[in-house]
Amino acid sequence: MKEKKILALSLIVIPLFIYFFPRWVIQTFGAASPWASYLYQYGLGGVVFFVGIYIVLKSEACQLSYHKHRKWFYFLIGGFFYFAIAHWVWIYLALNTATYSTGVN
Amino acid sequence: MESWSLNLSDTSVLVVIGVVIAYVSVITLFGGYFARFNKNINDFFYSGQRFSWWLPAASMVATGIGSYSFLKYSEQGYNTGMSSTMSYTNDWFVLPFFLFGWLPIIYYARIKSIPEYFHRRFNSTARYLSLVILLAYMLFYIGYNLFSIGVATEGLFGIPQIWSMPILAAFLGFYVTYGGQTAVVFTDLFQGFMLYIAGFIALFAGVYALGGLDQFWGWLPTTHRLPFVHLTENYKFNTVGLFWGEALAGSVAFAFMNQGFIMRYLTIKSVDDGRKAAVFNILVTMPTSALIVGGVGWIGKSLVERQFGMGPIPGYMPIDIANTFHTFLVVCWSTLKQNPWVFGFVIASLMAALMSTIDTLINACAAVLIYDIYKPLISPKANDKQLLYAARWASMISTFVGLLLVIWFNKQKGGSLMEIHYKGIMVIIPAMVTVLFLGVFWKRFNSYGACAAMIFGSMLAVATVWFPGWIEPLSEFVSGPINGKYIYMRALFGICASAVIGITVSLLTPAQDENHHSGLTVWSITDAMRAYKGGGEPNFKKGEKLRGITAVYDNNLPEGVICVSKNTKAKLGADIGDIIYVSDQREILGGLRSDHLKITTLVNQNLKDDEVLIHKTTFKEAYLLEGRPLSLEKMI
Repeated sequence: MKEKKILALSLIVIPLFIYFFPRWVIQTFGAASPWASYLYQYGLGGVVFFVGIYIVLKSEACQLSYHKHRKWFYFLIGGFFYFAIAHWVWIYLALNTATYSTGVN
Repeated sequence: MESWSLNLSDTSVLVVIGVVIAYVSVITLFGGYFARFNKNINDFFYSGQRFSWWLPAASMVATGIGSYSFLKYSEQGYNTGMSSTMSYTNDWFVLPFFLFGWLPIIYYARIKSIPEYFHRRFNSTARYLSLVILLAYMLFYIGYNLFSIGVATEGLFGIPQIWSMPILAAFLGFYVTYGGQTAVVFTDLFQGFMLYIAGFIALFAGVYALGGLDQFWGWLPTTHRLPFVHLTENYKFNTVGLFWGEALAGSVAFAFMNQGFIMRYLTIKSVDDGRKAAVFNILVTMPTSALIVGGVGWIGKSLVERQFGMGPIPGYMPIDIANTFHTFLVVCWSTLKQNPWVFGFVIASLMAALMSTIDTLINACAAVLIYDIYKPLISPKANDKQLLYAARWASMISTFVGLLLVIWFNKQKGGSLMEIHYKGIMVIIPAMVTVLFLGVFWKRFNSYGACAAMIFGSMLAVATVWFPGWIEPLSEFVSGPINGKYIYMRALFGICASAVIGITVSLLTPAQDENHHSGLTVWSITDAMRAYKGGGEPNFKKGEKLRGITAVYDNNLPEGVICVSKNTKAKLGADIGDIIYVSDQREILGGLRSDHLKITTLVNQNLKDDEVLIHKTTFKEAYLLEGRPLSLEKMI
């Protein structure tokens, strides 16, 4: 019963998030901002990623009591933030270092 | 003999062609050597599931980079900058589904081909529907790779594709046909190194020409430094489209339904090693590959900007990229100071990229043709020798059909390579990706839903080519581009349409018996592990990897088993009936000489701790060598 409630809630919350989150991002940063693209990818990608984590834990395909599974679980979470932080630093450097280019080409 | 694109002199053309022919010949002979490791059909396609993770992972470097990658991503890198890396750095989101869902299922359920999974999970109709889609997907890639190398050779030497393509395909077909998967893994390993060396030479030469990294970065416009493009602006390349079409649909397709990659994972000795290979691939290989394939385009942009601001660099040919298809070639030719020997080496790397991607796909197509057509429909009682013979014919047929597709690709000219690529893929993949995904993660999904989703989902995705307006409401819902030209959003439309059809039909029709899909969904992986082990519970106890073990023949033992002392068994953390990986202890071999054997009850009380009893035939079939120490490791 609890599982059905979670499923029903997900079927409402996730589509709402997919609809409203990008609109909030565009309104706040503008569609041309690299931060809008960044948040779009990691916001919606984060939903997909953590739904995946939930399913593999719930189905016991990933058993945290088993040392090898635990290692891979931490790798998965760490990898997500590794990419998110790397892209954040990349955008920051791209926007905050001088360029000689006139940008006319 | 005069090139119409780079104005190579006759001598330069001959040198470049000579280097390329020498390279292709060496690889063909190297690949052909591995025919000796194919004693049966399992070896031919899966190399006996015995490799350490690093060997397939390293060979995936070359498999993941097609000849089109250098041309396509250099072109994209020149046009939009470092955002060309997007499709190489957005695969992490689907990784939980792969690491703990799909990978253990295909491995433990001993799935030989993706359509076979559809048969076992659903029914034979689903198998043959998926077979059609899968062959379209893989043959598309074979044709696309051949086409892109044809574009390069035509641009370089003015040689028409009608001549260059059949010759190249003949070389490729030869070593895949005789060497099988082992040849593919080892040649791809070699070619991966080749690709990275050539790629870094091209990058280093470009940065050196510009005067260093600071100059390269300084001349790059801000828009070209960013890792993302505009959310929606460019219909050919936008963040929203890439997210839905590439990061989700494309990544799932690559990880779940690319038979070539799946077969590579199935050569690995264990699921844990498969996870290592997958993580290494996404965390290290793909970002590095993004730099290698797109970097020349970024350098090209920086060079053009510098040329515009300060004039051509003294000593270098001015850059003039009239046709962005040739960005990679034009920039390399200039930054390598028109040295035909080094340029020939870089061009040989294009061939390496082509060969390493196509060999995987040819082998994968052949596997599908054998396991899903020849064996079940044409010759169910075929023995290993007949299957091997048929597999070699299947490899040749796949190569030939891919060759014919080059004609179709030539008619698609007019868009960028990236556009042509995604136009095709986004129509082919959505229905099958959705069915595969629902089949793995939703127990209630049944064969009626799967077949309906594949038929009608594919039809609707294809129909949007003529009725793109159907995609608009969905694109608007996810804040995507609204422009009437939907390349990537077509995949999202196809996925949603297939999912709605599949879920609705499944809910309206009777559920399948749970035993029918035992071990084939994420909810029953332990069942798959039990079946893999041949009975008994999976053993999760911690154990050591033991080295310096000597083999002692005992031909009274059954084949396929080993016997070890009590102490050795305890150190391994193993119980009777567990599967032990017995290997030549030299890591450099990557498991080429090894096998999975069951541990049996102790039959010799005098057995020493550093000895293992084994039947001589079992020893020979694992390609182990007498006098060489072994290593033992418990698998499950």
